[in-house]
Amino acid sequence: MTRAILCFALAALACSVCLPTNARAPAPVVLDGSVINSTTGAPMADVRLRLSATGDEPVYARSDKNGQFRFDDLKPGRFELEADRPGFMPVNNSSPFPQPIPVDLTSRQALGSITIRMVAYGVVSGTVTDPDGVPMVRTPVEVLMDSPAGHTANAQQIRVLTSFTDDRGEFRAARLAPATYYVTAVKSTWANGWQDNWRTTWFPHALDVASSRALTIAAGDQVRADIRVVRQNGVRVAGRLIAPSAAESALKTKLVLEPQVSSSTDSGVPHATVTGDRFEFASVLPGQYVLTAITSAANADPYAAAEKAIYGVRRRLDVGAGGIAELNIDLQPLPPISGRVVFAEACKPRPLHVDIGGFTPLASSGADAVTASDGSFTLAGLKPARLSLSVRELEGVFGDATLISARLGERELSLAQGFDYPLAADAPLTLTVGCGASGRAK
Amino acid sequence: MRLLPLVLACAAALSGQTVVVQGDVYNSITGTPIAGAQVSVRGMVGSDTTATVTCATDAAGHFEASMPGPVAYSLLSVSRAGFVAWGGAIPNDPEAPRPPQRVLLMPEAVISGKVVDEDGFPAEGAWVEILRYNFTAEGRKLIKEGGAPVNDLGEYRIFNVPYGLYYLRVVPSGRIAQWDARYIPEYYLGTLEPRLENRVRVEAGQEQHGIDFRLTRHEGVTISGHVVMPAGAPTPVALLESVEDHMNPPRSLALDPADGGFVARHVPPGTWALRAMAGSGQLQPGDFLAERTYKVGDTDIRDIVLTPRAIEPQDVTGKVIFEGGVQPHAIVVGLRRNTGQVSSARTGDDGSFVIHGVLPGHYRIDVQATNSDSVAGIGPGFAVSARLGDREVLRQGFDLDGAPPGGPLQVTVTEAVAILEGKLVDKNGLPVAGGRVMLYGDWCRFAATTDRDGAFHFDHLYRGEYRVVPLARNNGNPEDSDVPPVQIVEGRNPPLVLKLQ
Repeated sequence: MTRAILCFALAALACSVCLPTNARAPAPVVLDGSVINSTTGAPMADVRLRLSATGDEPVYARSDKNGQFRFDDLKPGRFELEADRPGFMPVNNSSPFPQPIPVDLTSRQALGSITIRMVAYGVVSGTVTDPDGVPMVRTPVEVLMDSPAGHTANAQQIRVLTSFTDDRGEFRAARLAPATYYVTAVKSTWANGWQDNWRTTWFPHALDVASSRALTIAAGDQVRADIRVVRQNGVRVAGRLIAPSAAESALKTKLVLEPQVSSSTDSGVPHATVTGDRFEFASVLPGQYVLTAITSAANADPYAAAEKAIYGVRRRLDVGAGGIAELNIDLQPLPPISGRVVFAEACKPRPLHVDIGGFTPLASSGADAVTASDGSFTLAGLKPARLSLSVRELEGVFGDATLISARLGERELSLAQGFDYPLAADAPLTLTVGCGASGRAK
Repeated sequence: MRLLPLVLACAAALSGQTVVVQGDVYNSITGTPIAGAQVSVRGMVGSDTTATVTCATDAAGHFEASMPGPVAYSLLSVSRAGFVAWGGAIPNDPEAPRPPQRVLLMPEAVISGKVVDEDGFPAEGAWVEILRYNFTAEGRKLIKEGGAPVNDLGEYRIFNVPYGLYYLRVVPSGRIAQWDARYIPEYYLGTLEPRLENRVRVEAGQEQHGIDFRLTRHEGVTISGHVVMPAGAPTPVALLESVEDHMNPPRSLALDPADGGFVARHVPPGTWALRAMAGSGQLQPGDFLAERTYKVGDTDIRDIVLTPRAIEPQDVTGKVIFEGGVQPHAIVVGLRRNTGQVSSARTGDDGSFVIHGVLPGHYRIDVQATNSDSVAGIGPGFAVSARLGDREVLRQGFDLDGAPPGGPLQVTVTEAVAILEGKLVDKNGLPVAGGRVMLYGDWCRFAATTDRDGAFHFDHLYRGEYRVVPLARNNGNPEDSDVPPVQIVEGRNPPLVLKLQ
């Protein structure tokens, strides 16, 4: 005992000698809280918690029988808190996806108790069988929900998650927050074994979301959704590709038809067979589509991850019950988009990043540029797609620059919906940028 | 009458000449026909177009697929729930009629179980892998043969497994890896190294349940240091990547903006590459790179200083020669860096090539078909030699360190095909039906299923050194120890009789 007291006294002396008072380590802080079942209000025991701060080791705790937990001896700072118990997930009112809870322990004012609300998550499981009743293996099954207004350009539903069938055709999609969902077995382009006239099928046996049965899932619900894939013959859409000039080298064109109003980002859309300048979609369901074509040099290096597109097109297409026998597709050059950033009143002009990007089942398309001193920029190397624009500060991900409007010549572009590239007319792009407090001219 | 809708379903819609691919699909163990199997035929039509036709077998296990013709080359893939998927090539002769294909599907085995962590919580997001030893150019290596994710209940189910003995391993990823970095890959029964006695045996058609894991936390070691950039260089990133296991994504290390300090905690034993780079992120000329490899044991590695330098790429010139006076055709010569990145060039009319901008590193030569050929499954021929100056470098590869390579790279390619046939018999000399025969070359691996007479065949081989490994059901894996190689020559080789022990 005497030795222990002596050691402590020496240690205390060493500390008082080494540390000037103004450099003393900040006093440790404590985080305590409780976990409750959001449905019943009852405290939840055995929930494990993880508190992490960038660069430091996370620390862990577990809720007791009263749902209480405590983290002692923390260095003041900003943390993220996560909670985990089998069958449950934290409630997050703003997103269907669980996110870590930000915890600010930088000051005494920030300290306090925290309550975490957990909900028993829902599960959709089922079996996917082909039109003859044989289980379908490795088939992607997407779970979707209605898209918030203005969320995406042309999708009415957004994908929440994707599951895959096993050798029995069974899938399990878990961690679903209480909500209404749609389920679809997707004919993806890389899936083997789908015949031409087998179609992406919505639960239980529907060709589109409107005819599909929605699943309303409450906390802890386990719902079955067996899907029988639809067999439905389509019509032929064929025609000719017309390049802007006599091709200087062999060209290779890929074409795809996307439903004009799509329900997900799935790749289960018709791709064309191309022979010379002829193309053919063998079996298309009648409806409204957007056709995308991308032309690149044939026999390109197989290692080349991103082939350089030479020509391309995006155009709307109405496919009727008789199909389309002879459709001429005029391929267009893919010029850079030039434009200028102008700043809203009272904003300090400064260089910015201009980003542009979009996707089709054929390729992703994107470019970024830094504006010159006069605000001008050029975005090059783009491929046909529906493109969206954004701006950001040169340094850091989060800044004050906000894109207020975009004009192509005299035409106002929708920032939410984007625009199709290649452009119909060669007009300059004008981006008007607003600013937060720190971006104001002084 | 029954066949009519089937043939219509299989017919390609493009009009004109057609080529019919037909065959029958059987259960390799029982010999009975398999109905409802999905058959996909992919062929090269014209110079740059592939066509795929998909149909199903009828009640007699028969299929007929009508392709637009002429078809230069065809690939056949057959799958059905409950069987190991099968793929193979159909002989490459545009003029000759295709002989009927006889496809033997092996009933799949399934391995399933539960994975929980030290708290008994489901290890959601982890992957369970099955592995076997393969013979490769780099020697005998444990290679992944399949795998499945662990779901929210902690359950996994690996299917499409051929019968045999497998090592099993859990690789933490997804939620479990994010929750606690102390969970590291573990083999079945909790070891960090593969153990012969812990392999799991599955028979054809068997479901092996209850292969459960309980993961334990491992502290591992800490690797720490600083990245020191030259003045004016862009902001770097630092990555830690397993050298032995390229399939696992590299770990991104946070760099202290003030002093470039980094700390990687809980690094398990193994060989690790530590890399700091700045610039485009794609490793291009003008980017900055520093790379070091560490053998991690049970001791922390601290005070590392990485000083990235501007990358100085080199051009590698060379020529491809086709053996036997064969007229050269365009192929792609690739240099595969030990990090997986590939630099490549397409050969010109005389077989010459220039691969521009090759970065420092260790490289192996990789000959590929051109894009259109590779889509159609046409092999480029097979490299039998590669000389850099006066050194043979095909098997060992070569190093580039920023200085010009020691001379032009001359790659010799053969297109002469070898065929190997044989018979698998049991210890009494009786044929083994539905058995598997594995064939390992330096760069490739083939599997054949024996028919009712125990016969197997491999075509589209190239000459060289191979290991032929018969796999009997109820037997061990010969790959678990070394197997003497056999020399395969061009043309038809003397038939092999493989006797199971």
